[in-house]
This record gives sequence, structure tokens and C-alpha cells, in this order.
Amino acid sequence: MTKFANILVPVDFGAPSRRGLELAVDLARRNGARLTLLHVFDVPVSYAGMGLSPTELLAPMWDAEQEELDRVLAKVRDEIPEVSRETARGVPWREILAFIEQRRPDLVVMGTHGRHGVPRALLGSVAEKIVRLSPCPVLTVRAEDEA
Amino acid sequence: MKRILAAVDLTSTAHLIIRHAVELARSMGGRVRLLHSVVIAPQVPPPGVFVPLTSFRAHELADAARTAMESLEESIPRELRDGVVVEIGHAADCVCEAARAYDADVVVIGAHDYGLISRALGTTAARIVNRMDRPVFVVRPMPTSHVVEPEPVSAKAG
Repeated sequence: MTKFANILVPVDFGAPSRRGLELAVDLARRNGARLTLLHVFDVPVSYAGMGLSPTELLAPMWDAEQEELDRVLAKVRDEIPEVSRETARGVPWREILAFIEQRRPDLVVMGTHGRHGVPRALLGSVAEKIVRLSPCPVLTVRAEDEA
Repeated sequence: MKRILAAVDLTSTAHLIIRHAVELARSMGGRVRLLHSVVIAPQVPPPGVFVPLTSFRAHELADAARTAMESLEESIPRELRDGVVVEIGHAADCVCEAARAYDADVVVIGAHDYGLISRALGTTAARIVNRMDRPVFVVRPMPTSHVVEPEPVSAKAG
């Protein structure tokens, strides 16, 4: 039995997330691990209070993200048969952390933005919070073009 | 071969960091190099008190640390060992420099204990994660109720 039997990788379709996914897939393949992709639909704050119907505004965005997640899932499944997808709605770091607390993966792989040349800039805010608060080991990886 | 750099602080967390580093080395096909940094704490001596040169003390500390590190390295299976490094300086600087010098594929570091009060990432760990230009594996000690003890690495050491 491998130690990293269950690996969680939050995905948001950005460059750091893709890099994190690549590393997670590599580790899952080498370990024969189960991989879970978690996507959190972050409801844009600017739309709150606009008085528009959530279904009119948000449903197409939700559908588009679901399609993208399915596309990513299909691609990963070629390499990792034991892959599944989960979705949540809300504040990404809170939802990711709640998922971690509930499922207790052996490892969380997070892509990060890096410093962008600003000496004291921190990780991407989501990755930073997960690294700080996760009860499980977290493997952070920067997007290659930012390394 | 992948290069795993495990930064350990010679506390009980070191064993946990090494276990994860060994697991990574096994799963990625690599070896583990252990790193420890000796920090020179700046102190202003009271008037009239003679204090030996800090560099002397630092080297003494480094020698003692190297001995301790070599002992720790014995818990790593022989075929996965890639040496021990002891550096003098601030931990975050030492780890980032050593990672670049070693061209590490992954750097394994420890965070503070997991608990209601101490869930925050340590200052040193946060600096390393923010500055590191390569993957960082953050190990977090768990309370006993959450820990599933893996097979001791020493039992597999060659």
C-alpha cells in the first residue's frame, strides 16, 4: 500500500493549476493512487446585489466550467483510471479546506502563482490559505513560466 | 534520478519530514539529501562579559549538527541516501540556496504542529514556500488522533 493513496488536486483552469495537475497526475501514476479533481465555482462578488437572476447570469458560467472540468477529467483519465471529479460552490479556499477536512486525502497538490517579481508578494491567496490551514501535507508547485 | 532535499530542524518533526521525503523518493524514483541550517542568533553581550566569536560557536554547532544529521540519515534506506548538508545562516536563505545548488526537484519542509492555536505556517516555512522556485512539500505534524503511523523507515533501511 502506498502512502499517497489518495491525492487531491484543486483545479481552476489557470496556468498554476495546470502545473499542479501535471505534478499530481505524475505522482498518482507513480503511486497507483486515486486522484480527485476539485473545482470550486467562485461566484463573482461583483454580481451579487445586481438584482439579476442567478440562473440567467450564473448558470451559463457554471455549465461552462463543468464542461471544462469534464474535458480535463477525460484527458487525465487516459493516464489515471482512478480519477474522479468533485465540484463545489463558494469561496474557493473555504470549500477546498472543507473538502480536505471531510475526505482527508494523503496529499494535496496546489499550483501557485509565485512572486511575480514583487519581493514580498505571497503565494496565490487560495494556495496560501490551504498551505497554512490544511491538516494534510501540501505540495506546492509554481507555474513554469513564473519559475 | 529525482533529487529530494529534506530540510530538518533536529526536532521530533525531523522523522516525519524524512518519512515523507523517503516516500517521495520511492514514488518519484529519487534520492534524499538532508539539510540543516545552524542559525547564529545575534546577541548583545552585557557590559564586561566576554563572548567568544560567534563564528567559532557556529562552527561548533555545525559540527554537532552534522553528527546528529548523520545519525538521522541512518533512518533512510541506504539506496535512497544522497548525503547530508549543514549550512550556517538563516534557515529560509539556506534552504532556498541549497535547493538551487542541489537543483532539487522537490524540497520537503515542516510546518508547525496542527492544532487550534498553531495551525499557522511557521515564518520560516512561509518564507521558503513563497520564495522557492521549485515544488515544496509542506509536512504538518498531526495530533495523535489523526495519525496513522506508517511503517518505520528504519525497519527498511539497508
